[in-house]
Amino acid sequence: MKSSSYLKERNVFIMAKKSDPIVDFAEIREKLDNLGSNYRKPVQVIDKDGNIVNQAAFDSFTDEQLVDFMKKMVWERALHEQTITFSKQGRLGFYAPTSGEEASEMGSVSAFEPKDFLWPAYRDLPQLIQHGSTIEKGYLWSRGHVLGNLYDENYRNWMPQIIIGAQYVEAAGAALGLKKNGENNVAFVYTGDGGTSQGDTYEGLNFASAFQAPLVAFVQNNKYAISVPREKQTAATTLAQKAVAMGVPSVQVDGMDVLAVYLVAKAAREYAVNGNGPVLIETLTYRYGAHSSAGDDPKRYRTKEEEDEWHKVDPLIRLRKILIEKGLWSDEQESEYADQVKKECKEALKKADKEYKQTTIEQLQNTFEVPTPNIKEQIAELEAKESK
Amino acid sequence: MSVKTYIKAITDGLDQVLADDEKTLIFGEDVGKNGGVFRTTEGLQDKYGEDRVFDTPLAESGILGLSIGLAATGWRPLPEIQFMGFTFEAVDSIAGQMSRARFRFGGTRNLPITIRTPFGGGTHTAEMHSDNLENFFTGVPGLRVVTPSNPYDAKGLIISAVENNDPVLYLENLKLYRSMKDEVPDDKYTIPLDTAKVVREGTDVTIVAYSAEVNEAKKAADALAKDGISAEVIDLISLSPIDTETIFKSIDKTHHVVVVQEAQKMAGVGATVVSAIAEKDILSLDAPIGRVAAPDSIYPFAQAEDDWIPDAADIEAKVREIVNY
Amino acid sequence: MSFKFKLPELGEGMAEGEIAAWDVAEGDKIEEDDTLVEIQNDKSVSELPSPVSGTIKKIYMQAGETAKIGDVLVEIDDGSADDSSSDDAEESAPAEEPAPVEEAPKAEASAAPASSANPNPTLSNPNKMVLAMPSVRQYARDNGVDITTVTPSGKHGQVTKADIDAAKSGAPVASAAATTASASVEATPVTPYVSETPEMETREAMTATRKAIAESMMNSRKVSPQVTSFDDVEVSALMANRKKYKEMASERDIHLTFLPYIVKALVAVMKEFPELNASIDYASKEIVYKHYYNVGIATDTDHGLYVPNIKNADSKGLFEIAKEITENSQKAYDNKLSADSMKGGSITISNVGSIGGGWFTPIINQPEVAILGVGKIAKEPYVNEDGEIAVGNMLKLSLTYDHRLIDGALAQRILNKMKQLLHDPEMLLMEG
Repeated sequence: MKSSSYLKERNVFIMAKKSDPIVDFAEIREKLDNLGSNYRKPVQVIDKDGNIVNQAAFDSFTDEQLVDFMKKMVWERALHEQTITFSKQGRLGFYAPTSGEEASEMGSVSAFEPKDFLWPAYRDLPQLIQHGSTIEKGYLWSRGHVLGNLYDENYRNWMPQIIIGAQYVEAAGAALGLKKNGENNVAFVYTGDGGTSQGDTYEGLNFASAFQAPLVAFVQNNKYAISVPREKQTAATTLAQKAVAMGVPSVQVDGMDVLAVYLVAKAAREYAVNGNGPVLIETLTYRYGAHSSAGDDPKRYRTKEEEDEWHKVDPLIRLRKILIEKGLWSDEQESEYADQVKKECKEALKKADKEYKQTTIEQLQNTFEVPTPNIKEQIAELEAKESK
Repeated sequence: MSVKTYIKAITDGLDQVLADDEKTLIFGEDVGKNGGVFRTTEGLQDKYGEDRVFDTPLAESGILGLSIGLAATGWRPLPEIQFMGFTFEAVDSIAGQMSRARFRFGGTRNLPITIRTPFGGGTHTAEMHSDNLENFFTGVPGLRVVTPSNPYDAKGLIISAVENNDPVLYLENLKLYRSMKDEVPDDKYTIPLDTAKVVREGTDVTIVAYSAEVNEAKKAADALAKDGISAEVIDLISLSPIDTETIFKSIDKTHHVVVVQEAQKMAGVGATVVSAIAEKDILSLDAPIGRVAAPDSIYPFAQAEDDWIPDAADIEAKVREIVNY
Repeated sequence: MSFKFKLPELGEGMAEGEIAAWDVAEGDKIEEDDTLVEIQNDKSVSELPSPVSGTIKKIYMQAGETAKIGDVLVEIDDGSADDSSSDDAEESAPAEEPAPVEEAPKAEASAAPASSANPNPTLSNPNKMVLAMPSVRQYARDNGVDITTVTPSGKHGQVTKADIDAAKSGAPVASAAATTASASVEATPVTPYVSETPEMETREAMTATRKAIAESMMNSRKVSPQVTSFDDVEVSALMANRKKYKEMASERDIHLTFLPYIVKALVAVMKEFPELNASIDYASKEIVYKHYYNVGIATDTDHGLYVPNIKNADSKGLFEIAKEITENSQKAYDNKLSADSMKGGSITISNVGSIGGGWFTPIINQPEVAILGVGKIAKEPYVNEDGEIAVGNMLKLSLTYDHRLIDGALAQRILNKMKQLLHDPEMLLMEG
């Protein structure tokens, strides 16, 4: 009988005498955990209480730059607050809250040139606004209006990605394109902790690595992919270490320290633009609000105690403290500036209200460069319907 | 003018677009030194260098995502997906991303990407190497899907596809690669991207087909002619959009139609053709619409392939049924 | 001077929300963006901020109540000029004209054969299952054939074009009759014939032609209430006239009968009495007066009854009319009449006189409103103009008319005029 003789053969192996395994995977795992621990040393310039932990790095900033970072973070916080308000009033469509992530977002985007190519995801509207878009366009995008995606041509950027992961493969292509163009520019791309589980994220990073393309990739680890915590995405100690497998240098940075994020991003850009290939940066941050305006309630998956702990390390607190001590900033100045930003938001929404109504005909016309016969026929049908 | 195989006609077309437009790039798995697993890109890397013709890591989504980024930075990419079955790995890049870019940016940006990929059965490949997946991709707005049935069209069509600014899925029939030879002009020429072609004139019945089935339809037409049945054969060439005008014009003359495809019958190219006829030209018909297509099973294992793929005999039988209805 | 705040869409797929708590009471002052109300739904609790500053005028829904998206929750006196909801601004935003489209293609790519100006025949049984290709159905419509009455001969039990041709050759009356039969006319109840002496009877299937004639005859009677008036007229002078010109006609290969005279007379009568040259659109309750004079001649052949009409008889001479009658008759026998030659009639003449008939009650060729039955010319005593009994040549006339439009008195006046013209051919010359 064929099956029994097969089993017999198998038994030869099963019954073989005991010996130590040729490799010790437990030991390898231990090494891996050690490697992960080495990645768990987030770069920091100022700590949560506003103490300068890297004086040399801190001294590289001028007072104007420090104030500028403060203003950018206040800008993003005020933008977030006013936008959430509009959203609750039913005046916007989809919006992904950003408060808590100001240092990670403003610190990183500030390190890039206008002609560097930005590939954002949906929570990266503030960076996009800083890199060629406007608040009004952000609102139009939220409402689902095509004008929200027409940006300032002095910048290079793509619209926010909804299918998380896709932006990584596309950004790798843009990085390769810039390299082939011989330009002194890079592509930079964002995803979150959840996004690192997506196959495209690896493919993008690996392609950039294989082609040694100038890509600066950010993972904004805000601890949750909607409700699923970072620990459930992977057993890897850090997300930064994932780049090791692709031969890509990577680092963790305190995502609540705007100065650290900026300096790491700047170093990464310089490394990449000099032909050394891609870099991955994991920023450790936290999303204070809900995943999005579409009815997510964080109370269902995390505790108030946890949230409170993160509020204590808020990116605005530490820089504010330093700036006030240096006499460069005041609470009055901050609230005045926040009010001014909110006013700008209100004006932006008013402008967005006045935009023209999109039509299906317009969308059909944008399907192909030259409308195909079926598209032409459907346009004609719609026009006939309209003229009735 | 010289006699070329279907595959060499494609190589010839690729050679010309690489020569004419220095922004064109060919890349994919094995396309460089190896010249592609079918040798479609043979010699091109030597001629145009590794910057223009290059191998990529093995990842289809990566290849097509890369194309989007390259197109966004001013390049004209011609990615190759080694077999059409592998496009499943890259569906988001095609249907979720590149086909939508122009629409998303309000008509201000184009992604002039031409994806080349071989498809079609009859060569007894491993699984997922022969599947006719056009039924999926013809349902994607913003994506053109074209396929030539002969060497002449193969060359002209690849040039048109590359010169067009929309994303184009260019399907190469792998059975025809080396089995079909024809006179092909050495000069550059183009084939309209959304126009079907009457490849054989007739008066009694219209046979609509594409890719390898066009040749089966012609064989069937020869057999039918012996019995005095005059069949007109239309090669769709463009599977999306479909040139219904050429089809209607023929049916208005023959009043009978048989729609042929190698892909499964369910939800696809033939179904779209039939629905267009039913909607716009049904009054011209003297008999129900005939269909010849593969059964709605998964693409068969290699040894069962010949039984599964519709051939000239199937077309001939269906035409007789419809003409004598 | 207030703003009505409606429950906005708060999340994907949310349709309603429960009012968890109000943060304001009526009369309170509120600043823009301060919390108004807390809304609970199965996904989350949301604090909704006020889009305006002002005084709470009225709270429409209380805590615990469930509001649907779009429901007004609260009215806030914000000093604004008019009521406006939170999204009115969006709605009232000026819409830009859509960009012009380059060269619009033909909207209609369909190659549907152009159907004739005549209305499609009404199907006598529209719900009957009829197997036929759309092209055959169109062919039936184009030829005025009621496809539900056609016997199919196709392999799959379907009606073919040949079947339509066959039906058409036997069914000219059907086609015409059916044209006005209103869709509301119910199908004739079918009474089976129960044989008491079947051994002394034989049964034979009705031919398609016979069925078509039967259907159209039944239809005609259903469509209009028909009354027939009889009369006769002395036509010696007419006979003399015909005799005089018969030879001349013969030289031109024209067979001059009495019919052309009757056609001319009818034209003159129709000109005087437009009701005679009309149809009734009973669906819209309108009378359709015709400004053309197409006089139909019922033509009996071995394969059915046809009514080709003399088009524009008012502009044609006697010889021309005579010639056309002969030609049409020949075409009818040869089954070569075009569908058009049987469409658009004004009135029909049914002549049974040539085979010896007298008075009878012809049935109207729908959608016309009258048919003139012409009998034989018989030698009979009559009272002449001088009050004497004389032997006259008496022509029998039977006029069936649609009583919805033509009253008895009018019918008689029509007949009187007809008689006047036929009695005195010179007058026909003046008025015909």
